[in-house]
Amino acid sequence: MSNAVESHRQAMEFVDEALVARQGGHEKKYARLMKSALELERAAADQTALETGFEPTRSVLHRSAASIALDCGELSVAEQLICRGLLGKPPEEIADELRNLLEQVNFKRHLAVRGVKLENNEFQMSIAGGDVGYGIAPTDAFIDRVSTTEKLLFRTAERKAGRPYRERGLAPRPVRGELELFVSVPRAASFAVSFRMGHSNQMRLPGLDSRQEVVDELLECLEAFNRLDQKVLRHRIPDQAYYRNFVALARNLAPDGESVKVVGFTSSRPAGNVEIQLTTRQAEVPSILGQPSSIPPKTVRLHGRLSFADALGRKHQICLGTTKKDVVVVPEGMMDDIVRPMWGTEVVVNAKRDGHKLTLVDIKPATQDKRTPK
Amino acid sequence: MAVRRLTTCNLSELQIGMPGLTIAAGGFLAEAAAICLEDQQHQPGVQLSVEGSYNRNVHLTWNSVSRQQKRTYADMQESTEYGAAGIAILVLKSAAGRIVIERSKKGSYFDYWLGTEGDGQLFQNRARLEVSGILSGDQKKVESRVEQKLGQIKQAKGKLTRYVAVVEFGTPKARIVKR
Repeated sequence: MSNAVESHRQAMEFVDEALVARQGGHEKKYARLMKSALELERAAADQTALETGFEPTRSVLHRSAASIALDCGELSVAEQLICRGLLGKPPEEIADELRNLLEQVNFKRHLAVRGVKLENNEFQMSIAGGDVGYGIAPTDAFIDRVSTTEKLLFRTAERKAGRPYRERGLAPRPVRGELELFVSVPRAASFAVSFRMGHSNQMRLPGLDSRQEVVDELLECLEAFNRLDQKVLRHRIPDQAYYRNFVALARNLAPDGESVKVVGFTSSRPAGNVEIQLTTRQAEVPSILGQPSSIPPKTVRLHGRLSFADALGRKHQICLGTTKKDVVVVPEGMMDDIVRPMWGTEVVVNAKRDGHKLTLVDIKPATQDKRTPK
Repeated sequence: MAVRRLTTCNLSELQIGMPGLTIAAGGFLAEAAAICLEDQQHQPGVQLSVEGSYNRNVHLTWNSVSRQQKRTYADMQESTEYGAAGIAILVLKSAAGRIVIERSKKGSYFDYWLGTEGDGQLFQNRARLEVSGILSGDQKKVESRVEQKLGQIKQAKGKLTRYVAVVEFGTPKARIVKR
């Protein structure tokens, strides 16, 4: 056992050194140190493998080694360690953590593009969750996310090209020409699909160097969104209309936590694929994230059928139900992509009240709201 | 009105290390905590309100962070998690006399196993410290985060002794519950 103690402690020292290396931007050193940590932590776990009564030490060492293996991209090693950890008699909470880790390992596998080579003009979206089987997914969970991804990509391209926010209508022709999306046949990964960006040699989008730049920007913003990092998001998207639009669309893309638990994107680069995972659930995204100020506004909650929307008048506004009571003003960035797809459906609206004026903060289908009786 | 106990903690104590916390790791946690506190406009000497199983006020002191350090800790979510761990470890050392004996890797972060020096072996007979950090949030958010952690434990059979700590840097405050 003393060998296990020694191996484990040395492994933790290597992890510490690896984290310091990563903070300093030394990715190669980080990878080398984590690999050393994995060898040691795996050795510690091996030494307790047959001692099924030695809990929680046995399962904690297995979970720790599997976490390090996952960080190293050693998915098979992680899988074996998790399964062996579960074969013992782990305390229920450690067993749950081992199962969660196995889900992460599986999703990492889904992010890998099996047998498909992503070209420079392609990226992959995969979804996994309770209602997503091997190569099968609920149509609305899938189609809505494909449509949201397309909107996000067009809006990102327009923003990066320095165009003012487009409140209505189709994306300009150069954008559609440059970024026309083709969706591949879905494949079993849990459920994955590639987007290919078409190209038109005649139409170049002024202000944009490449399609890759648009995908990079989108993925980096989604990563900041997943961390709920308002500061980074505001820095990247200073225009309020674009910002509000991005947060609302990203929320629609995020997992609901039940039918879809993770949404992942993989994009190809000369140095290797870049992968990001959206794990923050729609319900965990605070309303404040989409607001211009960091002070939470006082909001009122309205519930009803979205029956009236005026996108043509000077002010965009909506109201719920059959009367024009509680008219809610829709700020820039929300009407076309967020509100319009919900017309005629039961919705829950959070609105900021300023005297008699109500301004939309967020809107979601009533089916996604936990407080709405089903 | 009940008088709350007042203690002092210096984040640099973490840089001395503990049996399960190397000097490098302790320094990392101390710097992350200082970054988060300064991000929320606090100065050394700020009072941390601790609630839950260990009601008290803690005067927190630290060495001011340099611009270079701030640049190094650009990912605030990561800093918040590590910083919260640093503060929770210091408060528990002072309030419960428990120190970090072991650590293990758990997802992107660590869990910390507390005890007194010399007892047990690896994770046997240790109490687990589960920490969560909030950069800025209200009391409701802190309580709901603690409840969320405790809810997970309630469902679990074969419970381990554990401390749940949620640290919020905006006020700053911490809620530490022993179960």
